[in-house]
Amino acid sequence: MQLSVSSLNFSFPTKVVLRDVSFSAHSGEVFGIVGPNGSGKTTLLRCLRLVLSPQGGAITLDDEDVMTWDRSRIARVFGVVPQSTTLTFPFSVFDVVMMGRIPHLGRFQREGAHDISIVRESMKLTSIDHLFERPISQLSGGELQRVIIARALAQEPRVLLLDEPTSQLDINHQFEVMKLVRSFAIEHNMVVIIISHNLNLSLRYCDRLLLLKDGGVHSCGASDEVLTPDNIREVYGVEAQLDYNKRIGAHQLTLIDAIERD
Amino acid sequence: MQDIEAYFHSVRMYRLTVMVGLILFLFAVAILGIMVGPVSISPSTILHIFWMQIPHVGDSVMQTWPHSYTSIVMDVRLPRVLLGMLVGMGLAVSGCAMQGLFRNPMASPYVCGLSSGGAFGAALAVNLGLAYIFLPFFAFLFATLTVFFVYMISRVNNKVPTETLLLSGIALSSFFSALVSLMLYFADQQLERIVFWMMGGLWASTWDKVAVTLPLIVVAVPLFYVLSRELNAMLLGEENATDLGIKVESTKRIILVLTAFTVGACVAVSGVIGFVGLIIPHIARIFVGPDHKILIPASVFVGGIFLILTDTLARTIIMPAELPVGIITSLFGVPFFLYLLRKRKERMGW
Repeated sequence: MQLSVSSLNFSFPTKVVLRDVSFSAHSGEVFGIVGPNGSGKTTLLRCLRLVLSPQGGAITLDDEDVMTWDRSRIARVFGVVPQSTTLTFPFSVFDVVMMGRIPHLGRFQREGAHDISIVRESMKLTSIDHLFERPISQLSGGELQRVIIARALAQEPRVLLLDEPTSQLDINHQFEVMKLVRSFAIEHNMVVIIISHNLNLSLRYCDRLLLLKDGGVHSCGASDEVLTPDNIREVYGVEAQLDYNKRIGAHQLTLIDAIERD
Repeated sequence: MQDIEAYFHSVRMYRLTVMVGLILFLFAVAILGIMVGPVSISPSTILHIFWMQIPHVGDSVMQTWPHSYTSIVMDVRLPRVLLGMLVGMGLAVSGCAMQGLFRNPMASPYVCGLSSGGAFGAALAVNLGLAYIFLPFFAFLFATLTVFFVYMISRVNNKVPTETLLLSGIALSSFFSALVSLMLYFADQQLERIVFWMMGGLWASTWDKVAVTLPLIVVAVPLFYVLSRELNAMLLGEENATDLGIKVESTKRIILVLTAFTVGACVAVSGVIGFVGLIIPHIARIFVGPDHKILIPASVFVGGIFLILTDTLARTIIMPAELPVGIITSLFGVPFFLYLLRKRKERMGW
């Protein structure tokens, strides 16, 4: 399975956000989107699932034209872990994960045994099945993020989109979430696209990366070929060193200093 | 720790129990409302009178009460209790949907300018010297017009940001209140009628009014209920709801239209009864949680019960005169609500 984006453009009335963005992500790999703040990462993810309507360009999943789909069909294919979710209401974990079944249920259809078993499976995959009765208002940050991931899984998606799922988490939970996401790509053959601020986590857990700069594609390819010292300097204005770390089996960046610009 | 399926079913059982309890409570409160008044009528007499109304079957009842009781029950108290129930239900369900839609505990039908729009319509009808029959019609018309106006103002690029909607509602609400004050200032002779109407009351409840309100409530409540999944998802944020396949903008539009009609119908027959739309959903939320699938039906019944009770109080507390029920709802409802708020704060999520 392959999600392809070609020549995607998007502008707000006073600002061009995305220019001519093209890439494709495949099932079985973790595809990362990186770039500085304001480079258009979140907007790109919103355009992919048509929360924002792109002004020109094409989005296809295998041979199907995603841009002609209605909301409910998009929700049956794209599971999303958004940047923020209002979690002040005391819904139980079970209730929230069950909301992932909404796109699959007819308007007058009640949740049945099949839905319960999918919810149970999603909670097991994210190791929150023991929390099912707990109100979400009482959970820790790491647990909450897993609840939202479980909700996305309950949508039985073919494409999983995650917008900075680790930004609010302690480092131990960051690893947990990234490993989890990786297992979905490999074991469940999903297309997984993840926005991340953490370049070293991206180097370690993403197979390929898209580096955005000012709304355009700066570079795209294997993680260690994208996050090179040259590219980091050009996009972030930071001097960095890229080394292979034998112990973790991945390249890691050492950020040295911001470069004075004139 | 129980199994997920067992949990799922226990939640359903709890909700079923709550609903059965509320229905029984509503019935009991309705009977109480019919019992008390200048003449007390016993429950068994009331039930006999009801029984008598059924064609053919009712003929067998032996009448052991004064003839006037039948007319007190059937022509005076029953329509009043029914109207109170319907208005309470309508205001409560609208408030519940508004709070969900705006994700804001302060939201109520009145925040969108419904009450002051309606009050303006009523004041206008009085000022124009129109017959009394036009007053509810004008109230309804202006209440709904206000909501659509607020909606149009808030719309940017075919989207209606919730914050803008709330703010323009509050602004327009103040504007219409000022206009009403202006009219009151000049309408010296008619003043009493407008003031009474603005205090909200269920006096002069007739079967005609019941007949106007009943179909609207009967249609609106199930429609609100059908939208409960959308409301739940929207509580987590609009983008979240969109990602779950919900058409957020059209859901907003439908809820606004439904609320405008429901509240318009209530305001038209009972004037401005405050606080019901605001506090009833909160009271229901304390007992059944945030899930609209149970919150909406629970609010409907709690609203009906609450307004029958307060109206019964309003017309008996200074017998033979009576108070506008709007005063009672605020006077008794608010302290009760504050007490609950203090006690069970942690369960409400707000």
